[in-house]
Amino acid sequence: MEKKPIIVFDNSVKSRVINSLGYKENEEFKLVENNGKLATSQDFESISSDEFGGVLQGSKIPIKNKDTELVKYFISGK
Amino acid sequence: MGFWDFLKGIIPEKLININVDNRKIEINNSSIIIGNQTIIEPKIVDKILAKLSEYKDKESLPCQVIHKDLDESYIEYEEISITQNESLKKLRMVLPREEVECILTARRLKLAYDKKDTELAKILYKQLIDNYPRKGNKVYNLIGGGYFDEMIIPFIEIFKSQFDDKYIERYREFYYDIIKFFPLAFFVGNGTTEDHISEGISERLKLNVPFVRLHAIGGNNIEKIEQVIEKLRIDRNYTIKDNRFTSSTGLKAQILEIKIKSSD
Repeated sequence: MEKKPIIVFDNSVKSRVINSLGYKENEEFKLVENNGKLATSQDFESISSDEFGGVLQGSKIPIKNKDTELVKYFISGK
Repeated sequence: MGFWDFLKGIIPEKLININVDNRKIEINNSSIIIGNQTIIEPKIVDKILAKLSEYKDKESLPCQVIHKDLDESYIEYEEISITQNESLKKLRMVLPREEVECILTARRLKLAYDKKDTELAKILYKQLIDNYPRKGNKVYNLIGGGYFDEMIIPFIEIFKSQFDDKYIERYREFYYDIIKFFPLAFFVGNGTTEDHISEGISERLKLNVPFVRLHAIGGNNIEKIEQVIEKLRIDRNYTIKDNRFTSSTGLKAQILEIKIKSSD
C-alpha cells in the first residue's frame, strides 16, 4: 500500500467540491449523482451535504465526515 | 494521470519540485496551502475544482478528496495500514470485518498514546468504547500489551496448519474466547519469566474462575510453562488440558487449559 495524494477541503469550499465531483442535492438534501441516482456510502447509506466528508480514490466512494468511514475504507484494503 | 500532472499548469511548478512531502494540498474558498506555503489566489482554487470536475464520469480520481476534519485521521489510519499491512491482511482473511475495524481503531488509539497525544487518545478511547462497547477496551489492552503481534496473529498460521479448511471457524472460536475471557487468558511471550507465569496462574485461580488458559508460541515459551506447571504441582488440584500445535513452517504453539477438577 502506498501513500496517496490528497486534496483537503474545508467548509468554505465544500459545496463547490461536491459539485465538481458530480453530485447535487435532491429535495431531501441528500446527495445524488448527475443521473439522479442516490449517492451512497460504503454501507449503502445516503449522505447529506452536511455529512459529506469527501470521496476516496479506489472506487470513487463518497464518505461521511466520520472517522469510522476511514476505518472501513482502510479495512477494505483498497 | 498522476497527481502532479493533474496540477500542472495550475500551481507554480517550483512548488511541485521543492516540497519534500508535497502529496497534499489544502484548498479553501480563496487560497491553497502546499507544505508551509499559502497562495492566496481564488483563481487557482477555481482551476483545481474545474480540473476535478473532468473526473466526474471517470472510474477513479487522481487523489483522495477529504474534508479537513478527517485529514489527521486519514494520515494516521494510512500510516497504520502501511505499517500493519501484513497483519491486517491476515486478520481480514479470518475475522469478520467488524472485528478488524475494532482492531484498527484500537491500533490508532495505541499510536496516539505512543505519540503522547493524550488529548487525541481520550477522544479515540471514547470512540472505541462507544463503537465497540463489549470488546473495545479488551482489544485495546491486548494490543497495548503486545499480545496481538506476539500471539494472536501468529496463531493464524498455527490454526491454518492444524485445521485445514476449518481453520477460519476454529480461529474465530479461539479469538472470541480470548476476547470473552480476557483477562483470564495468560500469554507467555519471550519477555515472560517463569515467575510471571507462576504469579499469573495463581492470581487467576484465586478468582474462582472455571478455567485459566495459557497461550504460548515457540519452544522456549512452552518449556517455561512446563517448568512452572511441574513446580506448582497444578495437576494435584486441577485438570490440565494441554493442546500442542505445530505449523507447516515448524512453529510450535501451546494452549494449556487449567480447570478445577470435578467432584464426582
